[in-house]
Amino acid sequence: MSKFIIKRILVMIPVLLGVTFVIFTMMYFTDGNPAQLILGDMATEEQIHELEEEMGLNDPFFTRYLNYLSDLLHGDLGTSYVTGQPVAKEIMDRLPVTVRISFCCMIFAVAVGIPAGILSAVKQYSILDNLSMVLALVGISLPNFWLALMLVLVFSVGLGLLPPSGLYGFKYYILPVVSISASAVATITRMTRSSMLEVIRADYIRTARAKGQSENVVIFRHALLNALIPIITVVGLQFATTLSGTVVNEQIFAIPGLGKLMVDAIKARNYPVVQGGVFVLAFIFSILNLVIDLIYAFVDPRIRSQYVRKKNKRQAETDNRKEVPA
Amino acid sequence: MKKTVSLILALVLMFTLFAGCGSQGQSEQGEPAGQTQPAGESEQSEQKGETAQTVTKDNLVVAVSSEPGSLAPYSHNNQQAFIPATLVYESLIVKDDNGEYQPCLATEWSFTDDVTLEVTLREGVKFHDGTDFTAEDVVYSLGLMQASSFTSNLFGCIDTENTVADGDYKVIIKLQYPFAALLEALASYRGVMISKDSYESLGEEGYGHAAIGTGPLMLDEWVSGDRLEFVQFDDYWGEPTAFHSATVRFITEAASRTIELETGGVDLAFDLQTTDWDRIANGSDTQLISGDSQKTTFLMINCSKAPYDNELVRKALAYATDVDSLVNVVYQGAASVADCWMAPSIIGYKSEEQIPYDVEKAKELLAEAGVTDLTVKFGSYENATNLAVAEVLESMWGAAGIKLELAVTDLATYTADNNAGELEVSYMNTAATIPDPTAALLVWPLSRTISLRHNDQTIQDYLDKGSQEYDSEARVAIYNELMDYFNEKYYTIPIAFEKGAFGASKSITNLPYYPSNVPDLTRIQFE
Repeated sequence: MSKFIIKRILVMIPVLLGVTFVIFTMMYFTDGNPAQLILGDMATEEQIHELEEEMGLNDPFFTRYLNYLSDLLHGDLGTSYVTGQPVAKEIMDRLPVTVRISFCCMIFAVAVGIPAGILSAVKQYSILDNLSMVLALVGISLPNFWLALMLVLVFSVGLGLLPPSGLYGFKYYILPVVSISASAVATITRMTRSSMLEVIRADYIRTARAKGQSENVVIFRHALLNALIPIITVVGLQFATTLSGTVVNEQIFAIPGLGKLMVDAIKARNYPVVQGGVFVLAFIFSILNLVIDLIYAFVDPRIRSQYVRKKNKRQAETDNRKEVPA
Repeated sequence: MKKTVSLILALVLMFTLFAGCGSQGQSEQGEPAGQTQPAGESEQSEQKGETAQTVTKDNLVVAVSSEPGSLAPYSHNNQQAFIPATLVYESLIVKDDNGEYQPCLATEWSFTDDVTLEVTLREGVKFHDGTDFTAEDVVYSLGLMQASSFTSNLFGCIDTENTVADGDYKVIIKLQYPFAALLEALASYRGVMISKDSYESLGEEGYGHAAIGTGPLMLDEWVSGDRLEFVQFDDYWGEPTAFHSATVRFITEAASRTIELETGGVDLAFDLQTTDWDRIANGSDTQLISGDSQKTTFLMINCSKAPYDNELVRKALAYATDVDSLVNVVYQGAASVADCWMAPSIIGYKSEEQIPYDVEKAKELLAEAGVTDLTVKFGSYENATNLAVAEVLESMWGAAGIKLELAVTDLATYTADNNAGELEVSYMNTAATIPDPTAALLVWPLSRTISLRHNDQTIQDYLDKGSQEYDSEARVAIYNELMDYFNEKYYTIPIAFEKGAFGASKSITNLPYYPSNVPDLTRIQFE
């Protein structure tokens, strides 16, 4: 198991290198002069040229890329052109907010989506099933920024129950979380339903019922546990999507998250922040994929046993080699 | 059984985390004080020594459209950053509502000759870092203003080598050449004073995030991407503000700022959509504070590129543009037709005769210039107003046989193209920081590298003459002549004088509209 983790971590290195190269190349070939943006419209050509030299903007592509990589290896993501602050600090100021929102969204999505999916599967073709499937369809189809605006109009402007923007307490989380997680709730509901429907028709479920197990035990212990793998995959993917895909809603709700930071940075040609943000997101995605794989093993003994079996097999081969007489 | 217990524990953990997210946000970040109550609700207290009852408020909440990159006053051009800066920084002099200069950090000032201004400073003023405000700070601040590319248009005249402190509370400001707008610049939000000691120790970036001034409030906390928190400065030399603290929130979406104002989440909201103005003006708890701004918009024509280097072609574009209709359609009451290259509030404004919309005349002029099948490449960035202007022009110019090819880029590319002289025709504006031609005619000096490129020395001569003329009447005459000259040359086509506005809760008083769109927040009172 530990070897599997180490192997996966090593695989992350070329992935991250690739990400840095692609994003650096894209930013390099994008129009716009950061020196001009920093100094403003009134700057003279001499001032601009001087700053370009100071920032190394006139260096060849590979020199700049290698300098960037070298700084990156030393934990230096660069300095923001706009604020003059270290990029790492700017990202670390914003990342917890995005992670917190995404985490709340996933808890909400799981807490609503899985029970709804189970209920739909258990009561297939009932009114409840039809209702939850219609709502799931609506949830997937509605653009989340539109939903956000509608929720604000109803609950903030109309009813005055919830604050329209900011993130200063529990009630401030409700509208962003509901609007951002709507599609995740829908996806998880549908996946849970289809996965459960597949499982509850299996022989071992019939056997469990034949043994006289209560329906709750059959559903939650036998069916749900076996249906969890595809659900976990979807939850993982949705979490990753939420982490990077909340930009518009961050703008609507004035949430100081990473997405907003990166969009502002792209507009301002603030290369170091864009590169740093993409790198951090790619790193989180890689880690997230690894965690999902580990959760598979934790939830499903069959997958766990594959890791252990491989280890045992290698151990046996080693032992066999040792037993061969010289 | 064991698994059931695990499942229950997992669920409990899940709900605890969910609840924890909320409570953590509340305790860590803190709701902006006063936000739980409608902005209009406030406590009343009678201050000593005042006969009238003064209404005070715990916290003033302001919404601006973007986060400042820095609050260092000479390091940026972000208008939204100057609004919170009015809470912490002060200038040597201020201008009252009647347009008269009044003392602030300076108590007396006088020109001893055309290039020497003697200023006596107020004693007993402290910076937020605890140091005394002295003549050294003024000399240091003026040096930074002179060198910065953001402020050099107003303070580039200062002779930094010969500007000296005469004791702790007197400064002799020397100029390299006479500069008539100096007092206006010193009284503006561009002319604020900073602490030499802190600037030297913190550096430009550090100072930009510390914002140490002499104002009635001081920066307490900067929550990246979210807000600025200000608290009252106990050692402030003047009268305290009518609010004990202030929160400036960064709300990017204009609609969200309007909603926050309407629902009582903020007391003041800036940079609002013009389509929301009526709603705010007619709101039961809101008011619209509006007026004529110092912003003039115009069609910029690249005079160094063929065929626009031919005056006849530029004139044809002017005749092919129905400015009245354009302004009505695009601005819908939020601007008036520009009859000059500077807003009426600027010294030297002169109402010029408007060029009539005459398609036949435009065709004749093009024929006279020998230009057939003219296709104008109209450069723009993603901006609703600019794109609307392009759409209307496409139709108007089409009637005169002129095709419009719209080239939309992002703002950074647009700026780069503009500075490289690549744009052919574009819709631009100048928002003057002070009501003076020096700021209003910012695009005209030959040293500017934008795509206008008129290369006309006569204009530069007028600009130099006007900026150095202290006699008001003579100065007005110079700029009037310059406006006539512009009218003959068709280098640009003036389009609109934009109105400006910001939304406020009804409880706010004593805050008039500022044509610069940067109101002094410290003067706010409540009823």
